[in-house]
Amino acid sequence: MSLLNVEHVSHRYQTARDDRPVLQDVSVDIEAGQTLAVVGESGCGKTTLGRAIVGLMQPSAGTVNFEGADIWKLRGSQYREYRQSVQLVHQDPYGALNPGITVDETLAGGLRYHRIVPRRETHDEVRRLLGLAGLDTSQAFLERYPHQLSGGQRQRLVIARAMALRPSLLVADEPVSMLDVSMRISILDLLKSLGQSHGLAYLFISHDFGVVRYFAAGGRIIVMFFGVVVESGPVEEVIARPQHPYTYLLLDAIPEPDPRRARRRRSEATRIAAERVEAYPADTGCVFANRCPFVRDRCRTDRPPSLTGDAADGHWSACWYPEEIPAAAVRAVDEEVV
Amino acid sequence: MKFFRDLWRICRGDKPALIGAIVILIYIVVAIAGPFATHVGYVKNPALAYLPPSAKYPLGTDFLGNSVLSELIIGTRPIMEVGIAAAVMVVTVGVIVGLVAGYLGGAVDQVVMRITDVFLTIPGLPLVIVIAAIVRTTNPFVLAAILSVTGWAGLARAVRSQALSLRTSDFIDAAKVQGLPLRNIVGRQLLPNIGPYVAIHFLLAVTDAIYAEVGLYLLGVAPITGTNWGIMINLAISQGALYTSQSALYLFSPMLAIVFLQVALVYFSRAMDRLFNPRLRVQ
Amino acid sequence: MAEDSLIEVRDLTVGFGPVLAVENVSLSIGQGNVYSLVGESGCGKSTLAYSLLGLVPPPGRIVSGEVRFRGQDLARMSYKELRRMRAQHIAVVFQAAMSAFNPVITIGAQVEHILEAHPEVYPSRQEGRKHFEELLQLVRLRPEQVWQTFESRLSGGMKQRVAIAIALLLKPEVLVLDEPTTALDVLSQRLVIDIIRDLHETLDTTVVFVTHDLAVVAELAQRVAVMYAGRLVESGTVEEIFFDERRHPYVKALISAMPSVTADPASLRSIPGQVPDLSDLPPGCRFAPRCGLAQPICSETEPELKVGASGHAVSCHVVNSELGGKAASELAER
Repeated sequence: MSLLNVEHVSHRYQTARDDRPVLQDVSVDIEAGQTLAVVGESGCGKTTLGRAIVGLMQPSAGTVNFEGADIWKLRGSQYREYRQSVQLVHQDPYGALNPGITVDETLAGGLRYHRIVPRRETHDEVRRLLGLAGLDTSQAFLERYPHQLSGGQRQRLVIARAMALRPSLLVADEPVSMLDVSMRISILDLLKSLGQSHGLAYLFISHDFGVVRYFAAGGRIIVMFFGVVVESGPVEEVIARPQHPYTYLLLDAIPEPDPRRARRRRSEATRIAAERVEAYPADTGCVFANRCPFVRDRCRTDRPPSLTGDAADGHWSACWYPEEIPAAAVRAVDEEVV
Repeated sequence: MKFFRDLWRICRGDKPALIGAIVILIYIVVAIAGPFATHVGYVKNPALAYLPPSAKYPLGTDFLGNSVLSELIIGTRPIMEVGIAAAVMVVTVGVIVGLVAGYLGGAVDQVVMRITDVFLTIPGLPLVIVIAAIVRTTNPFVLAAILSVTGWAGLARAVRSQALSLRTSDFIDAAKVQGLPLRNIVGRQLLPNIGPYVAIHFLLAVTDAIYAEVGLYLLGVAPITGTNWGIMINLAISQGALYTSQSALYLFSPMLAIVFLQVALVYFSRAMDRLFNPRLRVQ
Repeated sequence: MAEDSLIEVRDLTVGFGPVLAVENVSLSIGQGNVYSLVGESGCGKSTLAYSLLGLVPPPGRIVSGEVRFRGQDLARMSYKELRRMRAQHIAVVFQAAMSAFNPVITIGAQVEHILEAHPEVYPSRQEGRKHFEELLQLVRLRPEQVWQTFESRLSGGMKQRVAIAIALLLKPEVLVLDEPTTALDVLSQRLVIDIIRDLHETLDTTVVFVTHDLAVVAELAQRVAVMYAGRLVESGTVEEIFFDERRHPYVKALISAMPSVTADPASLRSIPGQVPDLSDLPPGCRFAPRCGLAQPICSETEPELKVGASGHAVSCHVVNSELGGKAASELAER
């Protein structure tokens, strides 16, 4: 039984202008200690999926199950266990912390309510959490307010808070995208080491394949497009040999941090796709049909099946003609950039 | 203690706030210690009526021969008691209603806001006058409650809109994900963020309550027992102070006492934003 | 300084009260070049870019130094001259292109207003509209997608591209773009990168763009200036910035700190510490507290910008000193 799984979840925003479902029949499994990365562009539903898993949003269809039980049906101690086990790391270190409360209170609030440690040990536990996240444990630091911390410190505090309730699954929604580049690796390293030392599972949401490759090495990845899971598989495998046109195009379009190779001609397919970048997702047939450079007749009429739990282990894609995708989307990964 | 240190530091940098703070402090000391320092009699002594200011009677005397200054001093406590009590009630009710309605939204918000709207549209002062006239109480807390009957509605509405905008913040999501209960979210997450707003409103609510209270006494709607500024004005007018210049001090002293306090409260409220907003308070 | 430099900056210092966002920066932007200003948050790159147009937002002001466009000092220009310069010679696409449009009138109407205000560029409105349509093609949009549309109907990527087309409408010689690809999705970013490349090639416009993303720099820039905490730490060609041996430690470290799909994960390293607070700067070199090559002199005096033969300039004691070559390579393997 997986730690957390999502079954046939769909969701529609009631006030959406075009009434498009933000999630369409999404099913994923997260095993204990495993990392699952979710990649896609804005509007693809990855954040909504994260919110559904963390219990902030109840999907209009389908279930989110923690250790086999529907989280919206849990009561009492079972609910408490779920609540403590699944925590969230936000992307915006400036909005994720309450500007009106101190560092101490930020961490102590949850500790006290859930009685994670006896009341008199709260102070020590707060300092332990700060240390875990690589932050100053002095009294002066405890009395600081978020606006007195740097971006990196704030993100570390957000991570410390997420660890306070001793979770087994962390949903990290773009945890480094709002940080300066020079700090990203250290935050990712912190998350990785916490994951290893505490046996954490991760749902790692990002739009950046480079970050995903660094963090989720050895884990799995799903690629989403307008609420639909279009590809799923091991991280390195999907990046090296994408089986869905959308994944291929995303990888091909990434700017290359190497001036000698950056000027190469991009594939015709990418050029076509970039120009169709405003085309609406299709309502019939494959959702990607209006933008796909390899589209054929069948794609417009038959919708490829959704990913279900059965395909969980292998490399799967929602495409009728994956053989159309050019090989070697990404340049050989063993050439160093310096 | 840190709070008072910060307060001192802020006031030092803002002269009007400092003046306001000192004046308010004086009034509070007078309110507490006044009745022990002096007293007022109720026997008419025509020989001492309307005396001009002198060493013994710095502000002269009233129509009964009592020292106006003594009356002012003794009259401070009832006024401030009621004023502060009313402000506390207004702010407590307004904040709780506003935060809960704004945070929970949905049906709760709709129902609560409709009720609030009713209270907002009822003309405040006339209603207070009518109720006071009917109830005729001398109990300061009952009087304070009467004065608060509509005052909370405006604050509730404003606090609600703040809560509405705060409710979608990431840090509120974080509190929910930690499973924190409503009382924690309202009390420890939302409240600190509206701190300055509430503090300023509190001070202004005191000024409103004092005006309304004095108004009640002036109109004779509240019972004329004991001594306070409102009663002083009432008696001064009914004893003909508007027509003779001898009793000018008797009429104007309580008015000035009120005005100075109100201005001090307003000046002091300037420090509230800095005091309650962590971004401004901390160095 | 190159003979054909269009914009020259000499010892420019721009301050906001006591804090100097840009300190003693000198660089020159040649005609027809694609020039990039790179750095992380708070380094002063946006302030520097706006200074090129005389657009430093108050309370900021130029404390010392000069910015010359074709030899003319911007600080001495009258408001009218500056306005004309901004419209016709140097155009800007701001970072929040998303909010650069008037929400209550159509894009077409806004373009008409611009044409109306500058009859010296397009004597006939017809000509102006036609040229705008050509520009729309350049940014891969069709007139019918844009002309009668309100800005709320356009996606972020589309607005960015329309903003570029509008900026080019008055045929400026220089186009300044502030973070043109930030906040855009991967495919929209790719489009914008390709568009900037195209417009540079077909219109021969000089392009100056500000970014924190070194990958975008690698794709587009010919010359690069790297800023750190208000100072210029290195400037040179894009190859020099990425490959030269004599590079500023910050530049080397920054490139090694970028997770990418092609980099070897084992070789990536974060830069310890954080960017200094501009109101509380360390003595000496601003990067010294975080630098793996720091020597005692680095925390005492600020290094000077030394320009090499090819125009490659680096501001670092270790790199520039006589012993620099040896010390740097000794300490380089960390």
